[in-house]
Amino acid sequence: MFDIIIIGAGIIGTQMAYTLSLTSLSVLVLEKNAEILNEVSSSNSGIIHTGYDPDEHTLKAKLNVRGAYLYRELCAKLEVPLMECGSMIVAHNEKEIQKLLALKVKADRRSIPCKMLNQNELRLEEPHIADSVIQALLFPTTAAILPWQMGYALIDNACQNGVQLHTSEPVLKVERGSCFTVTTQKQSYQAKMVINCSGLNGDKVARLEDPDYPIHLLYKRGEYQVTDKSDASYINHILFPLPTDHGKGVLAVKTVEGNLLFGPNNHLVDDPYDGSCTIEGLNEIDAKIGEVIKPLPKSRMIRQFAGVRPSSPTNDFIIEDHNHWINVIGIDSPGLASSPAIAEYVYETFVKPVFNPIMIDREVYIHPKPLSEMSIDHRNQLVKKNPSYGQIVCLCEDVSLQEVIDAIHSPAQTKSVKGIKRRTRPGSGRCQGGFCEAKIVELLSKELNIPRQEVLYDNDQTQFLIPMEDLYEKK
Amino acid sequence: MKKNKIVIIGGGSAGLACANALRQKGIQDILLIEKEDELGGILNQCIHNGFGLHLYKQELTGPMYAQRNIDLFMQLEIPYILNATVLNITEDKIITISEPEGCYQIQAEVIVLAMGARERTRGNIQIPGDRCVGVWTAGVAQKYLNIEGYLVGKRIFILGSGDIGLIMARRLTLARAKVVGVAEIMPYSNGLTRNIVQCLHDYDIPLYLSTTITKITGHNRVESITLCQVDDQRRPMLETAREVEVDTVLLSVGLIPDNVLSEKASVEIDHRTKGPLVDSQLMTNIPGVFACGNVLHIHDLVDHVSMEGMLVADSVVSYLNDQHFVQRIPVEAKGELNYVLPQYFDTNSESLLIKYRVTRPKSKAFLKISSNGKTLVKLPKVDLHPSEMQTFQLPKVFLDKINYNLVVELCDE
Repeated sequence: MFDIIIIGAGIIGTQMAYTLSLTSLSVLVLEKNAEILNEVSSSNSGIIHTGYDPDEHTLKAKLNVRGAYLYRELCAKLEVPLMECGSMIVAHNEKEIQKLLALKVKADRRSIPCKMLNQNELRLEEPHIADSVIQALLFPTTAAILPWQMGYALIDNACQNGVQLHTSEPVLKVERGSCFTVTTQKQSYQAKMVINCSGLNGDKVARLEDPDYPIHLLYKRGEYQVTDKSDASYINHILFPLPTDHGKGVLAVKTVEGNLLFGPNNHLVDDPYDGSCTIEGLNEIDAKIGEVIKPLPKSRMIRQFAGVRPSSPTNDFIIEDHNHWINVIGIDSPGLASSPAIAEYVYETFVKPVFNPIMIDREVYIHPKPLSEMSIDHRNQLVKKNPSYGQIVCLCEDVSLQEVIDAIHSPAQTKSVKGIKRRTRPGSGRCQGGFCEAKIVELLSKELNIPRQEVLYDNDQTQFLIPMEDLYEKK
Repeated sequence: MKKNKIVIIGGGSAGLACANALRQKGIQDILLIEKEDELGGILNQCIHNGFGLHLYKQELTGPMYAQRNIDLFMQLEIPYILNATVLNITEDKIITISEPEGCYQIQAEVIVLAMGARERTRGNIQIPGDRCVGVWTAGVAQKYLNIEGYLVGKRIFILGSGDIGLIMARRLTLARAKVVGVAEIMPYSNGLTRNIVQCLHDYDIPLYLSTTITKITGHNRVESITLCQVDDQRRPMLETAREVEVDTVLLSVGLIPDNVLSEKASVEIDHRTKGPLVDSQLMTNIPGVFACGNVLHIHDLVDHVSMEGMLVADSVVSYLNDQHFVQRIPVEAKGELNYVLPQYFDTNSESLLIKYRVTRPKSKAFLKISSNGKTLVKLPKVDLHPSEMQTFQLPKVFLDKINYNLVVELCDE
């Protein structure tokens, strides 16, 4: 029997798991995919918005402002890089300037620092801004993180603190008696409370508990273009067009690691797993990004991807207690920015009154710092201790063999090529795995003690190698 | 800091040829740096034959060709390090290396860039669709198959008719995979004619010209692709779209010289070749930094790569003998030429080997070489193809006549 079962290990589930791991509660996290943080949490803009945008009196407004505040503490504590680069919203004409001023009023009311920039000021800050931009509203405290870096830090700490993480276990059935019985294809688990953080599946999982649960999520797909790190200095801030009813628009963001992201567009889709890119969509991004920056040539792009976000029909987060079944659903933008505050809110409002748990002072697990950020002397010292720190497996991103091995054996374990890519970057560079993928597969096979044909690309059923001897035996 | 006279970065065909030639000219202080655990570079995974026809007058496999160079290299006892990655090069020729023995810097007097190329990826050419597993570059599939012994799929479509794609179409068929077809967005193939015949025709693998993939579909794994014919502007004609069931897509859509390190050392890059701008000695804008092989420009034959490495060896010797260039005269490409190499003529050079590629197939054309408005040479050329690099050794008598500029032009008459 667990005190609490968390369903879903996206950014909300991992925040929840981490928060609960600092208490005396026993916690199980059930994740349907083989790799955690594999859906909404790994395909978004990675922005810690300040909270100027959401409507007054919404959970979004409250939790976004609080979340942005909590991130400073959390990132410092777990040593997760937070890039406080600031953001600008740009205006092209008098009408848009009026809208900027209205946003400024809203931001001032929420005590969010911001400042109007004129033509000269903004061009000094952003030499590659689009020629048509005439004014901008600067938010110096907007920040960027790598969502999965945060998620891995949270889950690794949670696991080290005793939380159990079971991957590849989709929840199939929920029964309510004196406690909850949650059944996956592998096993049944009992818990006194369940927190449903299942992202794209949020409403469906809610219906496992209450077949008449009325909310039906909407799925909004956003496509992105990614450049190589060599374009990192092209922009200095996160650059937004004016927000509309359809979201924050096609923006330009520099990631913590220096790639630029252009996107997302915003289209409703029927299938929550339709993470495909389209010709029209990519053209739309190319066209719209031109309203914010001087476009980069297409040849600079190294990757395209799409993320699907679960939106609630109320346009606000849905966080509700159903007699110890807690739904945390409809977490679209600014979900990432709000996530620490969502976990805090759920804990304070629903968990604490029921369990009144003891807080435990836990030792913090810090991810090893990437070698690529170390001095030559520091690296040399590490290599002298362990030669595998000297052998580079990923040329584009400067990642050593030992860093990959360390990632595989982190508290929450990494089992797939994609997981290694997110944790340590091989495959995210300009060769997109051309030079390193075979080496990563070899390492996963060796360290997990499985044949290479069983190594996963990301999800279950994504094994991709066929041994030659198998082919010949069949004939 | 340790010092080395000559540091060669990359132990593939270009680096090996350069190292061997340097040692044969009596240069002692050489260090070759290789990132993999063996020498030979990409040739190790090219187990097909067809290498060495020009240089050795024999048809060798890739590993055989590499081994010849490696054997000589070993015999010449040239120092080298394996599993060693160059992390940085500076303009002052300080090289940062990471290898299992340590992470350290060395000071070089001469650097030879011989890092080769990387493959253009799905992200570079932006194929829309799902992000499922089952899409690789042809070279990665080749490595899995020929080095590791694994096949990446059973029903395969190849996009791009570059040589690696054609070779892989045959190789995969021999490995009992079904190669459903090869699509090429251009109206002509981008591979060598002999590869079209020997790798596709001989195995009844269809080649679809003016065709591209407009969508990749699949949940966890590739399930199908959408093929579309393109118009003369290379825009997909959506009414021609058809779906083909496959589990794997391999891309053979070109190579890009891998010059990330070169750029760190402020080496100037030609936007056409994607390699360094070099003079007739194959020296870059940084004195003492030379380039050869695929890092300089993409080759279709390894023999030319080796010869380029040897040419750099000659240049390095004259550089060390203090024969620095006196004047660089720009070499310009005109007409239907994709590029011309070198981009500068160094007036101290005793020879000039011009390399060029055409922008589209030409059955008949004239190569005209002129300087300062005066035609030096005009010669007829037949059957020119973008996939085949052309070379022309400018006769010595003309070298003295080069002044102000040198124009290499492809014209119709």
